[in-house]
Amino acid sequence: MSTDPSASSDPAASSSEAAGGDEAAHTRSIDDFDPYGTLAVTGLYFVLLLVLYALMYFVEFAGRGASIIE
Amino acid sequence: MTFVDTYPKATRIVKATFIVAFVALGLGGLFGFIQALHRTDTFRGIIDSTQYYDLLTGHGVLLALVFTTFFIAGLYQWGISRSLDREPEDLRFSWGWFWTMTVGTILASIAILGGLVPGDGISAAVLFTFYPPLQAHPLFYIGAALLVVGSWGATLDWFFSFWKWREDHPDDHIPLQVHMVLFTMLMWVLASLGIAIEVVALLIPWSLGLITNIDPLLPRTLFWYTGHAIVYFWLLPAYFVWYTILPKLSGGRLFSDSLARIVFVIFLLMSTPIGFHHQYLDPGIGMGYKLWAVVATLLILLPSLMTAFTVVASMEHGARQRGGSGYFAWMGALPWGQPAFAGCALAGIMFAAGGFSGMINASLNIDTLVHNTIWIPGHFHLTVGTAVALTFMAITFWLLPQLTGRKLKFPKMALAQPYSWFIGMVLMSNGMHRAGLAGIPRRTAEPGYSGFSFEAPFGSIMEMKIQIALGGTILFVSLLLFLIVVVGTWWAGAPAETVDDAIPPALSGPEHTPKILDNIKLWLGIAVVLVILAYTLPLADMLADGIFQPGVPPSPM
Repeated sequence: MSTDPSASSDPAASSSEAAGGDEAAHTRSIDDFDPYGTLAVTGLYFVLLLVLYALMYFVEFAGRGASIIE
Repeated sequence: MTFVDTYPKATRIVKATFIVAFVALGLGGLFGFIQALHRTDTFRGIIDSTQYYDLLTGHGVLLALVFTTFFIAGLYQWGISRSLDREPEDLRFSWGWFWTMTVGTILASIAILGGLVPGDGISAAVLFTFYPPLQAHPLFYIGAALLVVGSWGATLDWFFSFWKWREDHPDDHIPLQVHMVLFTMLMWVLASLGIAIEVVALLIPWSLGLITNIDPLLPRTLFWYTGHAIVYFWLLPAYFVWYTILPKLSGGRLFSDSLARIVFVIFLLMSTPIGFHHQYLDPGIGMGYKLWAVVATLLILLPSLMTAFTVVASMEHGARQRGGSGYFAWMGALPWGQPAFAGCALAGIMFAAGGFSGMINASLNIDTLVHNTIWIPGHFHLTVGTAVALTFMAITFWLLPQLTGRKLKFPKMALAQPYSWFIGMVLMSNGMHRAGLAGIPRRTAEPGYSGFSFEAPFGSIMEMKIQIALGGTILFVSLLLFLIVVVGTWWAGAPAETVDDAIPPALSGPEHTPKILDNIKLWLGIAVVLVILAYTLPLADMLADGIFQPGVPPSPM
């Protein structure tokens, strides 16, 4: 049984079994890792949110006339 | 040696909670399947339209309250025991909260299912929100109260373990999984005070006939005081999985321990003071309070967007280590052939879509377009129905070998499960969202009106109905796949010689985490102050004319 990751003071202590024992799993440290893929994915999501929100606001919401119930 | 060998007592509790959770999942899922066929006029030979509401109540309660609460209890017991390296402190207490929750579930289920038996005088077709003056049998409210009280017992149990651990580790950071458990449960206890007061002080005496009339607005407000935060009570355990297990399943490591803790702290602070955004169209609540709810709700998007960054970065770390490259192509290097990973990742993708529809719901003006339409079930089937439920199912595939010492049975079926759930939910949720934009209402067995036809902004109403019915059917098949894999593994899985249960440490670990993020008293104190600021004045407004005024008589359902 491994110890909790955050309780461990040795970052490599329990990483050897990561990815099913893949030795590559603990070779890339935070200094070697530049998450530009994350920037691309989250940036795309952000743009998508803006476009969809604008569509909902201007077309679906503001684009419809007022609903008047008589 | 895996969890079942090291912590046999905790394992029995986790297994017991999972059994109740999966029975509720199966029954609630069956009800949902029948509803999808009935509402869309695809097949109406199982129930009549009156019984639809009994099933709808059962679907909501068994899935959103029972499945979630019991699964969370098991998942968090697992996290507490493995992280603190402790069995439960007092098994009598642990079984006490389990049986309190279970008896509550049985009582509430009897009340709900009683509605399907003509002439027994028991029914509770009041839906998951049980708004007065709709009135259920007292067993329903008593059962709901016991479920909540049991969850408080679980909270106390985990704090007992934490305090005992703290005696031996006075200067250590709280282990990350334990931090997440404690902050989730503190948020839940603070938030569930609303529903507890509503049920115990108002609805139980009212259902017993001790009070005749009730003010509909006050219980609704107390319900939504809890009711939005309960969303995060479901979601934070999924985040627990995404932060602490998914990076490992991806072949990498959590990007940042600090970011994970900050997110849970913000949820403790911001989950509860925003319940009014469910009451944008309720009369009797000042617009100022609603505007505050808009601002606070948009603020609580922040920790979810932070989660998107951290979880995606952690997955990218895994993908890079597996040889992935490029801006987007790295995603192809992720282990999409492993059911636990695929389920969590697909759940995350669905949550991104649910985040968008949630922003629409949170916007005071645009919400009027979709409020009380089937858009809303479309939204929460993406969030609780997929982000949470699919994550729970997926991580079960990873946890079961640890809990049983057996290999996962039927691995191909297990792999088909998350993908079929994803496809089914894409169809059903797409149909629901677009039908909501056409104005089709939610919570009705008969969504049509005589002499009136809904007009689709694009596509056709018939095509949306087909998507809902087909999606619901695929989801039910997916649910059956899940249950077959679970039962097969539990009873007939081959003994596992080794179980992959290790979790690597974070890239930026607790040694970089400010101590203040572990200060439970500080953050709980601020959370209480925020609740007082948000709710004192509106509740005082409601109580000014008396607790039960303006009162209306009950409508037994």
